[in-house]
Amino acid sequence: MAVIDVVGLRKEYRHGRGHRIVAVDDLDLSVSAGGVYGFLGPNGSGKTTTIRCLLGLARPTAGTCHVLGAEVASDYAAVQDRVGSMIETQALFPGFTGRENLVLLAEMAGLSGAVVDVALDRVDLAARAGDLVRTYSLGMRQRLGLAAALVKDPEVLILDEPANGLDPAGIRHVRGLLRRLGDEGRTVFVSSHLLSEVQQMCDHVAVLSRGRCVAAGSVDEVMASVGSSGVVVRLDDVAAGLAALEAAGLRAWMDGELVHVDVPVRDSPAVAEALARQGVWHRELRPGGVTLEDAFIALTDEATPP
Amino acid sequence: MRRLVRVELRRLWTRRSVRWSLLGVFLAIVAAPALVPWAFGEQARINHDADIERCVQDRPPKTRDGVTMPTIPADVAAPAQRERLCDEVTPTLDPDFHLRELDEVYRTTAPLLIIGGFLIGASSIGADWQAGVIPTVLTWEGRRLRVFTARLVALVAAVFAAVVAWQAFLAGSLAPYTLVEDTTGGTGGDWPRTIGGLGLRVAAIGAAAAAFGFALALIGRGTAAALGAGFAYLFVFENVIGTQFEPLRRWLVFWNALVFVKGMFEAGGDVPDRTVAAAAVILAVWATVILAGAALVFRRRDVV
Repeated sequence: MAVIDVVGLRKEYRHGRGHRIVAVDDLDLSVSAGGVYGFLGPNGSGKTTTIRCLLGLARPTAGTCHVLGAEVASDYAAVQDRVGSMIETQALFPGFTGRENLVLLAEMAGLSGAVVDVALDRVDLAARAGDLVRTYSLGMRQRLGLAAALVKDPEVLILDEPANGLDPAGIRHVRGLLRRLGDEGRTVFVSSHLLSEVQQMCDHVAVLSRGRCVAAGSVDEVMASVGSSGVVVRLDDVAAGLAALEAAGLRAWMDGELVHVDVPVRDSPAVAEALARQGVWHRELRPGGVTLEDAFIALTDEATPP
Repeated sequence: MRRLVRVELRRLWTRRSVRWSLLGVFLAIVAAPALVPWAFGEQARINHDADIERCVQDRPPKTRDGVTMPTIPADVAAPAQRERLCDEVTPTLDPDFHLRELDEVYRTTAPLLIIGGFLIGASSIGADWQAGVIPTVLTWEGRRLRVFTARLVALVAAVFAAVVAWQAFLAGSLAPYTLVEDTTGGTGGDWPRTIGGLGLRVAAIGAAAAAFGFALALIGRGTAAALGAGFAYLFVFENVIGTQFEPLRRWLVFWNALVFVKGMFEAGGDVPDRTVAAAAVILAVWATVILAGAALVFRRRDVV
């Protein structure tokens, strides 16, 4: 069963007399339990609007959103204790310390203060938890927001740009944390602009453009949808290498001084094994030309703005 | 629900506007034993001067504390002598503050408390809109009417309790002065009930003002919107309507609030024939309509 299920979601905003902006248009999305699901799209593509609809903050113009089987518009309260969330930079009460903020939120959900310490530890913020939030940097606020999302020990995490404002070390920390959360069996639904992070962290992605989903699937599938991703091999003996790969049933061709093999990146070991079986040793083996960023730009027409 | 109310009370306590208000209240209570007697003495002097002036100009006499102030007919004395004569015949008013006059203090300070209640009510939710805290709260408690009710209950209870406490502390700070000056007379009989009733009515109207501010800030999604709309409506719209079309006063917030706080019917006064109970009903209807509207808007509108 899908943990997050969006069917025919449409969201319009009215601006002025009769003028309407369609933020999300006929969006279908299905997120299975467990793992990390990336939600990508350029600015204004409808990611945050979709997330607001998923959290009951915005009412769909048409279509439905279900989270953990509950329809958000009518029954979100039934599952809200199982969902942790963070919308852009989480706004918390600036006059409280980080810890007090989380304790207050925990109290709202009937949870004890002990869970707060666990959440603060997970985001590496325990040392500054006693400081007022108004003294926090943007990165610290992001981590506190992430901690707030973790306080409920949720089955599902819905996060909007959680790495926004973090320094490289913070981004790496968040990436590792989200990956671990996904590996624990939680469902992490995360929107992000950091495509290299998404590529490393996510199992599946959906790409949104102008309110519509233009691609969805595993990261490899989405990359493959805009061209071959494959792997690239540098060999001393190119002819022997091509023969070895052909013998193993792999499609390969010369690409300048390199050999390009048409397999998903995750099957790179099979390439190395096929070569080794024939006594051909590679000097370099790396992912092929298409990255998630390439796919993203191709799918969302970002490369050729109107 | 109790959990939410408790959280809201804690949050309310940390608001800077609340703490500044409490500091102001504390300073006022400390200064009251000096300030209130000085103000009463000053008022007595001003009234005395006005009575002399009225006498000199032979205008209709005024009655103070059951005593009609004398006047001298225009043909009795030469203009040059009138001022001296009026000064001699006009009795000096008692400049001391008497404990029985505490109701004057409560009525004089009521507008400040009501405006303070409105400001705190508006900022309690307006600041959260500005800071973007409302979406965070709603992702933790998605039942918006529960959030609305918890916030309203916490706010109204806090403001009501704060105004009652302020009045009690004020009475407590003024009592020693009246004991020393021996001006505690006239506080027996119905006085405790009368002053208690007035105090509770002021507290109730302060809490209602907080609820109005809360509702307007919720609809306008900001403190400034609530303040602008609230003050424009009360002090411009209702003032103009109430002044130009007196029969309409009986249905307006401002004029019924006046009757409710004053606690008496004044013939030819603010709203003829309007009783305190009827004013309370009208105010309750207004509050219900505005709060119901705010709840509906909060429940249905997108939170961005």
